[in-house]
Amino acid sequence: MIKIAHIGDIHWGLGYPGPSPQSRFDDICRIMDWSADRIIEERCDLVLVAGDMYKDNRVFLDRASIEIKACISWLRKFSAAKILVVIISGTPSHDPVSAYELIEEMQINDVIIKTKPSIVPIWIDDEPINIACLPGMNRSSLVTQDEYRNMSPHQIHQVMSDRITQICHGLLSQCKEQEDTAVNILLSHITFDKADKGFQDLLMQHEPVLAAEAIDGFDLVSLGHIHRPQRVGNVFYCGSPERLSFNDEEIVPGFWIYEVDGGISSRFIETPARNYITECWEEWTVKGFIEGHKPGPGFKDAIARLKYVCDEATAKLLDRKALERALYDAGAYFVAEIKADIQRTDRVRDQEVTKSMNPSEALQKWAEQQETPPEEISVLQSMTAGLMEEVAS
Amino acid sequence: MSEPAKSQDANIVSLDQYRKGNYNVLVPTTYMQQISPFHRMRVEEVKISPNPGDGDVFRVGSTKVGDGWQDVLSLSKTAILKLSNAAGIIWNFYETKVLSATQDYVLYQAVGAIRKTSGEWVPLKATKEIDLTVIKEELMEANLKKANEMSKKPDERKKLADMTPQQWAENQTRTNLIQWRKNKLMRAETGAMLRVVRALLAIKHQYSTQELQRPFIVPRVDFSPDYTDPEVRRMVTEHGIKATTELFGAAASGGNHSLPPEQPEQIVGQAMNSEAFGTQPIDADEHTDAGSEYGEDIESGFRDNHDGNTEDPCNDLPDGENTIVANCTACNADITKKVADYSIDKFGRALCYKCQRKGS
Repeated sequence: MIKIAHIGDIHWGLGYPGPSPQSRFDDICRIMDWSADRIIEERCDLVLVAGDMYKDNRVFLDRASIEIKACISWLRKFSAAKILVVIISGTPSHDPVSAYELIEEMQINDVIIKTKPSIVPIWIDDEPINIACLPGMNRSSLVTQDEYRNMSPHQIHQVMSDRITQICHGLLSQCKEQEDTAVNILLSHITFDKADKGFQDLLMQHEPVLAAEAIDGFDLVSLGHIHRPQRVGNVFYCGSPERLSFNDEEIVPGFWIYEVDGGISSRFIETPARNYITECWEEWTVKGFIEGHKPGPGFKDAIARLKYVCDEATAKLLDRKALERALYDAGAYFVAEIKADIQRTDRVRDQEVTKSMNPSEALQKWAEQQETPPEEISVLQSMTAGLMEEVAS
Repeated sequence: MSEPAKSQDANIVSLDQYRKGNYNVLVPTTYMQQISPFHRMRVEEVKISPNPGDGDVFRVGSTKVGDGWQDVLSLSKTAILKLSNAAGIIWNFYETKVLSATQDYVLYQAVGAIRKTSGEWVPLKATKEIDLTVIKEELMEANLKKANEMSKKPDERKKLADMTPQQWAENQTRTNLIQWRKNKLMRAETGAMLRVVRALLAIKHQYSTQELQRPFIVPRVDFSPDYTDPEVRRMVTEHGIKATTELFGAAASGGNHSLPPEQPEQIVGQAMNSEAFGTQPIDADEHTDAGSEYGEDIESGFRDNHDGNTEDPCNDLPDGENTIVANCTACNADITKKVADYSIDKFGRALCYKCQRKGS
């Protein structure tokens, strides 16, 4: 049986919002050490790193050296344990290819780095495995070609998606040149078109995608890019092992371990990542705090965000500094934001405003209440109609 | 979700099982038989939210059902693109272009293609015309009617802001037209592309909420080469190298692992995408063969007038190069497609032969 760990979207970097520019970087290092220890403890034979090891591109050398050093230390753990690591670079705009090339130059034992598509045929315990590597990409190399120069972004993305399919077929074809019995794995950093991206597909064609057609024939597809661990058939996203922003609040961070033994089974290993907590307080909770109630224990060790709704009178009574202190007293690791939604008391609800009104009518009512001149209301309504048609068409 | 097509015979997809299973099946045939060994059929399931707030549909009216009223919904651009994506429709961006554009007029052509079960591509073109002079008349008529109604109701009269109904309607029409003018090219582009998708997939123009609660089933045909054949492997690898060079730069194709020693014998630039447009596209505007594989409801798909632009499919661009398709932007003379193409290419706008010579 071969054991493979699949991890990615690490985003080593200084300067995340936190108690200090270093503190979240330390969190990432802690989680990565924990992950390495677990992977070694699990006796994995192979580690696949699916891109985006770094937070930012084009950083000063003093910062870059700290981030690259952290990455190297992590890789040396596997090297010492004689576990092969195959790494691809991620999204070039924030995951510098140069950092990967630098590590490649160091020739760390058992570390293979790919910044361009190619296959890595390996043998583990007499079992052949082909890893087809398709690193992250952007559209810059395409748009500089005359043929594509004047295309709009969605046209470019369609062309890119098409080329990605061709590259995947080409890589699989190269895999098939190897051992017949090999397990063929695609390692890439891209959006799979069936993945749950965590947002509505309104932005379709705003990025290139990996189509189902492209992965047909691979036994396993290990991807990075979407920070939402998931499995869609034989396609796996590892997500990020550490939460990096409030966008990750609801996700369960970790990495995958596959066991290849005839078939392929998978387990998701949850990492002890730091929590992000957003609480929304209604007015009665705000009043409770003013009267001396303390925030609950939910903020313990978490990066906290608090939103509260109250009227103007209550807002005047609230000491925001005291509220921030109370959150820290409740154990918050870092208070990222306290945001007020103050309800104005002079707001009057027009009885004629009902759910049945369309946006244009509702806008007219609102504008009339704001004593907007009729001609301006007409212009606003016209603009609204234009927007609605634009959305609808 | 997608799944490879299944049936007792792996090469035949029975679409009736989906129809019986409460799905909207987007191809009118009962069975689709795979006849190319290089391709594989797949059935994609696409969910479209019937809630207009989610952006997949918009309300175009209502119809009486029993004692109550039921919304009549039309698919938005987002939903149609979802279906287009699922079906694997691709675009010929060289032919998807403006055919004619002036300050008040735009004619846009879109050419898309879908893969048939034989592996062949079916290209199809459609046009969308926006004529602001006609739209202005329509808007003026509607606004004047509205203004006259408002003037008769004491509680709404103040909305006229001391203007006569005629003045108010002119004012309103002017502001409405600004939006039309601002977005006319984008609307024409979207309109033409949506018409291609509607025609290729036989998408109905209107749906009820109940119908949209059923997911859509979109059969698609994917390229699936036989990797056991060394010649196929060589060709596929060559395509892959070419694509790698395009996306990652020239040095990328010289990777250190297992690239075959053979260099491509020919430039593989005519890759899969361009194969799709090797044949003359079917003109959606003229295509009325209801018995064909993709023919159902094509005509209804063209009555895409939710944006208020009344369309007559017969007025759209015919196929022949010598057919009148536009007017000269300088002297308003009729011009053929051939002349329009040449002029737009050379002068950036549609000019007749005489005006081209004058250098208008």
